[in-house]
Amino acid sequence: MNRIGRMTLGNVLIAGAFVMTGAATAQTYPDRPIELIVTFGPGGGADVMGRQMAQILEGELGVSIPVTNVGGASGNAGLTRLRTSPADGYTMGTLISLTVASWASGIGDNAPDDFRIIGIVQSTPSFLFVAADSPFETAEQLLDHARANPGELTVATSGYGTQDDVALIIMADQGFDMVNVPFSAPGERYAAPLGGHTDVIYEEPGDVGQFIDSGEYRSLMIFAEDRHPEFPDVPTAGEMGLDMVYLNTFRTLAVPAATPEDVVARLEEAVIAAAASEQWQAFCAQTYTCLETLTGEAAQAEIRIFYEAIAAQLED
Amino acid sequence: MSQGRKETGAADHRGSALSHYGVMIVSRIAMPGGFLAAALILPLYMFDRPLRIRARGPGPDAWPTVFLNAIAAIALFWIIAEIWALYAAHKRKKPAPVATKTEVYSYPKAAAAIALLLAFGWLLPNVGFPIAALLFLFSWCFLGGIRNPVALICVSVIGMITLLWVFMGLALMPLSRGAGIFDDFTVWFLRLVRIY
Amino acid sequence: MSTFELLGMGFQNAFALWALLTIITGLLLGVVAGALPGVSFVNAMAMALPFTYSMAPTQAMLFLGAIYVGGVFGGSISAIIINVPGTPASLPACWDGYPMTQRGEVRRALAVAIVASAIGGLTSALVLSFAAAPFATFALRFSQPEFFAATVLGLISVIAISKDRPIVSLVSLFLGILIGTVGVDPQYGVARFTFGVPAMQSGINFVVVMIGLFAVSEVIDLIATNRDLRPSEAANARGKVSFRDFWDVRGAIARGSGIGSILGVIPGAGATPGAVIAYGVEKQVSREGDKFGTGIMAGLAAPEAAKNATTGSAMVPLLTLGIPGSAATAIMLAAMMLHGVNPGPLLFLNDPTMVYTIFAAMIIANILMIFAGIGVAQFFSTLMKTPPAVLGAFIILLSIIGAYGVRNNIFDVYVCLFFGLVGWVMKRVGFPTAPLVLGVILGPLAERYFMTSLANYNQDWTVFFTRPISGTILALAAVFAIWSLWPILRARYRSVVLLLAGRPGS
Repeated sequence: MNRIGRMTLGNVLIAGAFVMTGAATAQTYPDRPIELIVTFGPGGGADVMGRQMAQILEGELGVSIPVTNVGGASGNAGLTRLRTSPADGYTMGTLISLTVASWASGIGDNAPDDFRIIGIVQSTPSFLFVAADSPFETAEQLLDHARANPGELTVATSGYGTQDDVALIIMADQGFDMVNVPFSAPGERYAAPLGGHTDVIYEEPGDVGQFIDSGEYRSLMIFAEDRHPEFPDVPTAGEMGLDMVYLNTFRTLAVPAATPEDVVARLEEAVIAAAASEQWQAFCAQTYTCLETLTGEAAQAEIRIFYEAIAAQLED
Repeated sequence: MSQGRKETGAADHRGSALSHYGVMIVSRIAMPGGFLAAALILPLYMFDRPLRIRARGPGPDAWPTVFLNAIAAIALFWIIAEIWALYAAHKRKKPAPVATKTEVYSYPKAAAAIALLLAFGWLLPNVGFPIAALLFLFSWCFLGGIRNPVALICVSVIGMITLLWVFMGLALMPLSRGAGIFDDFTVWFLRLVRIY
Repeated sequence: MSTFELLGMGFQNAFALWALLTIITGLLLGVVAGALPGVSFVNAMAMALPFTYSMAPTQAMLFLGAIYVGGVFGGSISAIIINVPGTPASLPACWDGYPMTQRGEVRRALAVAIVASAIGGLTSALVLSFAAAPFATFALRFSQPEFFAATVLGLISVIAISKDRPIVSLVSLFLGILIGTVGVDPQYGVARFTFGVPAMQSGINFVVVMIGLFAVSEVIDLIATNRDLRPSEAANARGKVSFRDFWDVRGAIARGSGIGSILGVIPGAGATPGAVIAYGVEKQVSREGDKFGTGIMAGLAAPEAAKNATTGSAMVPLLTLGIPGSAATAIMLAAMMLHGVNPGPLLFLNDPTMVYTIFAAMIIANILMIFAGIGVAQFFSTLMKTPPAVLGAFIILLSIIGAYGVRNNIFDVYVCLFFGLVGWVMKRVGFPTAPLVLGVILGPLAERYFMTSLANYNQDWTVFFTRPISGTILALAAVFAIWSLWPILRARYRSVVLLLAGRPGS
């Protein structure tokens, strides 16, 4: 008692700090809140995914997982923060395809190898949709019109230099020249075909589920190797004679690259369990994004392939 | 006021008026001149690297360029208008109106306040929110004339813990915890006040 | 079932105890967050999002909706009492509200603001309840050129508020527009004006600029002038509120409510342009227009009504189309999606109970807001009795937290401090700050709409004039500009003529 009484306040503080760091080893990981950085503002697809995952992971990991929205610079502001956080597993982040595409355009100071992907939790091919009152009933009609009238049809996309842009450029190279109309605000993009402002929209089905379900959108074509189980009647671009590079929209959870293996393993295990949970299955069914969660080196490779595909398109 | 008195008054400080006009010209043209210079220089710094995009209509430089040019044009017009106004005032032998300030304004205090703000901005990411906020509350209240040490300490300690509780505890905001040893300290402190 | 029956059912649900408690909690949270300088209601809604996980979807929407309604009003409390807008939409409340406070009419100013906001919000909630479907169709007709034209109208209204210095105001506005271009451009994904600093790619957020320009610089002034914020006893007597005060501004409230309700449905526009345009229009319409800025009640009532009138109509595209038009409605969309509810036309078919409960709750919330507003305003007036130094220190810390909370980014704290210094210098040399903030808010929107319009219509810039709706709005904007500038143009013309004729001015 006496000795403790003689310790200065500073000593107590420093001692407390050391006890704390000592406790933060992997045996007890996690023993305090894990911050999940969502790299976009509240309300978007990455945010909804991150919050849904955080909620389920809280149960799996037994600690609270507060979500922090760090938007800006196409997701790079949040990733820079993730990269510069201590690599102790107490900071996670979302890393999505839009951000990887932005690296190819020279945005941000991040690279694929700065991050360790815990898992690709959502990945979805994109579609070409038209409004219900569009004259185009099938993909053939649309493509025939595009071939006959180059530069006439307009397609709402998320911007230039994105996978949307790459897909349209490849199509134009093969004789189907449609105009890319960038709508960076998602809400305006979804409304564009409905209001008759653009002819077509390039979009993943999850974000426009309500329009597909209500019949306001008609799905014409899918950009994927195989047909989508939820949309068995929608032909693939390959079936329509197009030779495409298929770039899925994906959303992953990532940690800084230097995070210890056992911590990553614990997180991977939790994410796989979370993805199998009933709550997640209901969510991914609603957003057409159910898939087997990809982890480890396979996930890392997906990111690299995507990055290189976009960079290659922007080179020429 | 008669016409004659006005004339003598103007003649009296003709000498000082000349230098007065010099100062006026510099001070009144400095602002539009600065805008003009900035509008002419900034286009060179618009992009960090050479553009590598497919041109489709106006590029990413179009919109800022329009407004830089607009600022340049307005600034030029502004300079001309100022010179014109000074010239007209000179011809009328009446010094151009000078803004007079009547309020009491303590510039040393304002400078000290600004220095405090900058210090706080520098401290925040390094020592973390709790310590930075504590120091800031203490010194700002001191600067504002509160000298009672009990009041100073109470306001800063209770204020800091309340802010922590509301924003880090209830609203789950990840306010800066500081770097290195300060991060460890902040985590310890947050556990002490039962936020973590 | 008719709309009335559905709404009746909605009222039954919304008057349940849990619903009322949710609404009241949300309102109080919103008003307080809005009134705290720095912490905006969007911050508050984002912070409240995790708490809605455990609620039923309807309750979550009620909670967020109430925060929204309360928060949009709350910003005016600090604008009126200490000249610091709590949220961007309360900017115009500083122009005529704060001068009233300086005259000692703080109670009257707050009363007018609360009543105008409540009436605006109520109008809008009724529009939402009865005209959601036609309004949604109307909103869909709007394409990018129309959005651009509406934004131009907002930018033009800066001239209306610029008093007698249109040149300086224009420079300030254009500077704001340029500040808005910092960061990644929305079209090409190219970084602009980042000067090699990666953090600059995040861009300059308008909320952060506003917090710096108004809150931080005001607090520096507070400490340098040793001003006393306590309202004097004599002043209280002058501030007596009578029903007459509200009756006098009924026209301003009606016009503000109308402008806000219409602008609210336009995605991206929202409360701030609504309030500014309403102020500009009122300045022209009102008989006391030339005295605006000196504490005229109509100049306070119109923007107050307009900004709250955007709350209900902003939910029209969200609920009917599933399209969020602002940060606040995007958070509501996220809350719904997290509960597995997809807003859109199907929601009206599948779950009309939920939709009409939300409608009823919006109506109730706007009425209850009067009480929440009075309570919180009372509390804030009491807070003014603390020493200015303590108050200032907390305003600064709240501003920093608020700036940080916009995107949880330390870079925004530096931007906020930087604009605090800029704002302080601007105030000292008499350079107007309001146009700069409006430029930062509206500039990026205008650019996005402009560029997308060109891409959509074959790079043909005449589309802005040939499309009927956008052409009409632009013509209105032109008329508005000339109308506001007319007195100055005439005066300047006369002085130039006199100067050229060689006769000294009278």
